[in-house]
Amino acid sequence: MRRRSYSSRLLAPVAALATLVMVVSASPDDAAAGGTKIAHVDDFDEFDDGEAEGVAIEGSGRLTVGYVPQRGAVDAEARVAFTCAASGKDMYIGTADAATIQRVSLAKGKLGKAAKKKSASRDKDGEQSKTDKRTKKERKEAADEGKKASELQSEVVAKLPGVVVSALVELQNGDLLAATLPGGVIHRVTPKGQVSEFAKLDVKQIWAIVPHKGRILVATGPKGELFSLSSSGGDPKVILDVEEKDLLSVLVQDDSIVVGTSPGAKLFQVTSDLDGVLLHDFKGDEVRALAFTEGGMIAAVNNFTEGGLSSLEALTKNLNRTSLIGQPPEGSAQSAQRSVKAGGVLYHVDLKGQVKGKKGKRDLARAGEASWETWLTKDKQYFTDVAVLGDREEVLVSSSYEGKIYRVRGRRDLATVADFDERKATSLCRLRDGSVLATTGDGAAVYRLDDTRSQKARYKSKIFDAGQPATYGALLLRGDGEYTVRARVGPSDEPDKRWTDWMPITLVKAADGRRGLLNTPQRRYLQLQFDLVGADAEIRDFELFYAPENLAPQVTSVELDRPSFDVDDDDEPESKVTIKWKAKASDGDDLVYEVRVRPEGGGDGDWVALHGDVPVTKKELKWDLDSVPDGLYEVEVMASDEPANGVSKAQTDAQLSPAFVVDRSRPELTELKVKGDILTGAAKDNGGYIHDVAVSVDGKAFRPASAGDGLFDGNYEAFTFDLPGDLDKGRHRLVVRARDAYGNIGSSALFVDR
Amino acid sequence: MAGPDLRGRLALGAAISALAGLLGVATFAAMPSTAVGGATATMPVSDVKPGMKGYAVTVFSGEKTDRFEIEVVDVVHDYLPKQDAILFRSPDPRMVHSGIVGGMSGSPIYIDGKLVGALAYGYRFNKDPMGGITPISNMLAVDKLPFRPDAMVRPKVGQGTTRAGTTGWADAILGLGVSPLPPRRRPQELSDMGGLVPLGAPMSVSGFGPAATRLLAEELDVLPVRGGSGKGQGQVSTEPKKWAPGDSVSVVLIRGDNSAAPNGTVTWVGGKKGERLLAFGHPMFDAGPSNLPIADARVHTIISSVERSVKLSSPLTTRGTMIQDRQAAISLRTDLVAPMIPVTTRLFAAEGEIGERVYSSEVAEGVSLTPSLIAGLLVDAAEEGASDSTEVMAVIDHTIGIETTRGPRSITISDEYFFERGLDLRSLGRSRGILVLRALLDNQHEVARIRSVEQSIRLTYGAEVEMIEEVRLAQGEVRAGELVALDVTLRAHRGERRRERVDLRIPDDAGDQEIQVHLVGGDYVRPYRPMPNNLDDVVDTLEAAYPARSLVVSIYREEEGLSTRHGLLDEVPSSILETLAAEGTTVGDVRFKQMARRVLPTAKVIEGEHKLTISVLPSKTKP
Repeated sequence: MRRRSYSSRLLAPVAALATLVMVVSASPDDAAAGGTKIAHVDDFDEFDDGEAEGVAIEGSGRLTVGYVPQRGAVDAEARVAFTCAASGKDMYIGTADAATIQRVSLAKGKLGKAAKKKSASRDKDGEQSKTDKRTKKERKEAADEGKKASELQSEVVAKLPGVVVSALVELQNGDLLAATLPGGVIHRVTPKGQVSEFAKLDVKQIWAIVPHKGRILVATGPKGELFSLSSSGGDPKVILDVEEKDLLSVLVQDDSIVVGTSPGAKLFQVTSDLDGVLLHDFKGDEVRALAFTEGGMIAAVNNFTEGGLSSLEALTKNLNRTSLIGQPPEGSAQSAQRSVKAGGVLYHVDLKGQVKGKKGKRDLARAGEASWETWLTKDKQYFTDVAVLGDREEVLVSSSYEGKIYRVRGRRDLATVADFDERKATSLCRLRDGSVLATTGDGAAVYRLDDTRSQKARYKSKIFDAGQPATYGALLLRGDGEYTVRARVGPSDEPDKRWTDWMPITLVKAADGRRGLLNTPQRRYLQLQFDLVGADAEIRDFELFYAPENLAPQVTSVELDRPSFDVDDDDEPESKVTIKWKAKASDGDDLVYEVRVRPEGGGDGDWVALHGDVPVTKKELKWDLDSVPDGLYEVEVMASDEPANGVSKAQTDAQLSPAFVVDRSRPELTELKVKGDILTGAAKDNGGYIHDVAVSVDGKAFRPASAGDGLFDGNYEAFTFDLPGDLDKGRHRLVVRARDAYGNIGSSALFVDR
Repeated sequence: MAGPDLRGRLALGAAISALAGLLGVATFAAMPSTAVGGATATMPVSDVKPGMKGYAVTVFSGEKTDRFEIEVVDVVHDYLPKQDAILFRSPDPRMVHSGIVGGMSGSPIYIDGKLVGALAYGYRFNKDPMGGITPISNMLAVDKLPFRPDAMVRPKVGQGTTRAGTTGWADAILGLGVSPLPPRRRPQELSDMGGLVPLGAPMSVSGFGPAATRLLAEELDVLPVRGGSGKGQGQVSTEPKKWAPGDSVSVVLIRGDNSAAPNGTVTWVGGKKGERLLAFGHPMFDAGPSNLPIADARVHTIISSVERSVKLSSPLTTRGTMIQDRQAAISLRTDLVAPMIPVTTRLFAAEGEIGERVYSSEVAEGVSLTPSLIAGLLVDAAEEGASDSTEVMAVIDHTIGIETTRGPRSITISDEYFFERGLDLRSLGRSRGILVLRALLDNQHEVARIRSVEQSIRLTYGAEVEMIEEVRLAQGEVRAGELVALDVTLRAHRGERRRERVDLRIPDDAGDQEIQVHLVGGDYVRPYRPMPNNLDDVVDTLEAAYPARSLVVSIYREEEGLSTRHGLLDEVPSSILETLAAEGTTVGDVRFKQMARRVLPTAKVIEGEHKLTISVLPSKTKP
């Protein structure tokens, strides 16, 4: 959210008036007083900070109705749901750590009351926040609860050896073929969970298994080989052998086979030559996923920045240690998502050229000659899979960032259509009914994104921090269709039991959108929830008006800074003194000051303002003492946060300076006598003490006289001055100068004859 | 706490004792009062007053018990947690000469014919024969504790700079600069506390040289005293011995060709058949539940010393098991048999004429105890036949028979060292086989039972060792996919330099990246291994090692791999790795840098380590 504070930019009364006008015009009910701030959300990144459920966050900065996500918890032993297979009537997922195959099905019947209650309670407590700090046990319990309450269910069909089910496909007869890492074994798994070895290849990794023309294609690593097996798993033939280590993705169309590699991010077409044909060399490290659109081909390409070798020693030591004793017992975890040094790019190439429409056949050769358009670029994340949705030419892309699924329709139409609670979206599978199955990692779960428009589209804004407990006023929304808004407030940056329940906001039509008033208690944190009702509902932007609690400013010191002078200065110092003060506003409000002075101990009526109507905005003020009678005075500085809060709600604080002397009268010189070579006399001052006395002979430089009692410390000081012994005969002019503590100089002249 | 029956018997014993007093029987001369049922009458600490006279029973020489007079000086309450100490002094001329003697720990002390407790504490450098008594009530509480057959003793000895538990031996195996051994200090120096200190159980050792004795003393924190192995000491007795308070008793740690047995005195005999004993009056290792064999013992003499006099003893026949090792006493059972592990140690001396030496012994079972004892046997064998102060090569082999939940298996560990100035006996305690034993007995999966150990040390004169002196890249520019040559200069110990060319294939995909070429002797690097799921995985990892006579050349990459409990993923594309790696959880997977490695056999042991970081240019044939 961007926050604006008009008043914070305006210091002068004219500007403050302008603020008033602007705010009044925007919100006549609440924003008349100063101190109003506005939070405005209107672009993709700002909307993308919130949590979407069934809502699409369009790249143009709109919330629209997205897909219906149905969630299913995955057996707790698996940490990552890595892959999926859904070409048949059943839905399956393959997991990591442990390597299991699980069947996913729709839960039978509706949710029970208890499950609903739990679900609602979980919702209220904000348990599904990104920074999940729950213990493993708590996660498991929550997962178990979620399992009961979820709309999808998964059951383990088979547990396979290895770390992860890296490739999974369902055959026409309902059996599954699955490969696990590390190793080159392909397992056949029946729907009842019977596992047998289908084939064993001399490879270390299998990345994809694709049935094609009655045979089975197997993309492998680390020798970059694509195998073709018979339907029974025999007769293995290498049909492509490239220099790149891994063949990560495979795409087939009729007789054509295309594969994407890692490293090198190359796209090869299989030919009769083992080397194949290089169709395209993307800038990046890997082609993670490939898919056909109606008229072209999509490639999800990732680029990683490796971490260098500086951590080699530490990592090797850690590996060696853990290989001996297992995981160190002292675990630690970062609560926030670690940003991965990667970027993902989604490329598209038009394979039909001028021949558009369904009749036109995709021409793979164009992948090597036509230009690849960049449809989506994302930093600090990588893409894990793509799925193309039917006729709409919509491409879904699963991302490693905060469990997001992006929907891309061409170069400029981007939306976040799903935002899972788990950290990574790992794979996408198109179901026969047109919906999409998505899996997640770092919190294994499975989701079904219904192809039909969501009936329950909900968006929760990022938690908004007002900085102080705040009064929330109007919410101004711009959008179309039907939608409802609720708000909740609380004292913490994560919702918990201290937060209020969701409170509905009644919206009324206004000239510039729809307005609603928040009737929430004064709290620092606020969250909004939008429910889009109907397929055409959308929200383009919203503005939230709020006024944080006003904290009084504080004046901490007031000082008077007099001009300084030196003993050898011949002139009196400037008559202006500087009043300086220190003041702060802990809520960041801008401050103005009033400065006034009165004789020490005077009454309220004795105050004299030291400036005109315009309040002081700096923290100092010059005061000319020329017209001020001598005496003791005190200055008061009052700070006000009026610019930020308006006159009626402004808070003030005042501080008195210590009493100070104004002394503009000059010392008098009396009793000046010359006896022999010695000049004597006395200096007298009414305001302060005599600072020094000096004598100039015949216009020469002043030389200091000596105090009669040894020191200048009183307002009457006798002094002596030894005249120079080498005065020529004749008349000499002596000028005597006395200076008081405030620099006032009195002088007198006399003649002496020699 | 004594139950009602016991209290009744004690009361009866007290009554009999009092009657004896009335009848004018001299208390000092009175035999210990034994109530009906065989229980000994005891005197609570509250009845003990300064000036009371009594006597102690112990073995001064041979196997027969003898008495010496004591007089109570005072009672120190709460000297230890919930345990008083009774101070006494002995006017007995023998005690005046020797002071309180190590090995007398546990000697029962009677006053008015009632058992007061066990002589257990003394002062170091004491000028008077004054000591402390552990009250019998505290000791009897130990008798109530059960036998736990699965207990594995883990002496609480100072662990040097090592970390505790499994991380300690892992550090040592990986050569991370910490030692599992305690710092080199005399055992006496370890107890620097003033005041009463436990007398300790002087460990009677035989068949051990000074270095092995010192190693055992330091690792077990006991005072070694040269003794004998004793006749029949290697056998478990079938003939029951009728134990009596004051008998000399040893805890057998090693028996056979070598012997090590801390010695003390029996305080109390109980049980229906006299099968329950309490001894020492203080702990041995303070290890709690124990399962260590015990033997009766013969005292040869008492060696008087200004600091601490000790009994010189030899264990005789193994006759039972120490089942508890606690603050107030050790608890023994004569009807139980403790396991011992047969250990065969062979020495093939460098001096051919010495021939093969074979030592057969058995050692007690314990987590850190067994490896220390076996290390002592290895050091001892080397000490006897390898006192060569010249350049020697030592090949140390261990064959360890273990039993895991998956059944028996055998582990063979071999390592080879070069010693410039003769064998460093102490370093043998850190040889790989010994560390593997520590790892097996102290792991996080299950308790491994060691069934047998065969160890050998084969010495040859010479310096079959080469140091990597320089590694030079033969060409200036390195491109991905190229075969590059490394010129490795190796210098023999006191010998010539030689140059060996090692060809290295730069990975195809390493263009625009840095790689690190690492050359090291096989003994200083370990294969990448996954996280263990069970003890057998740990054993596999322990066995996986490169021979010392090999040069290991590794290329480390910037890319990472992932070690999981289900295996190593060592060559996976980055997005797969990141997808599988966990974030925001404490159960993180272990990442490592991808690596390719060649192991080149060499004629000599390779020492030294060189690293070469190379910026790889893209392949010329590729864009």
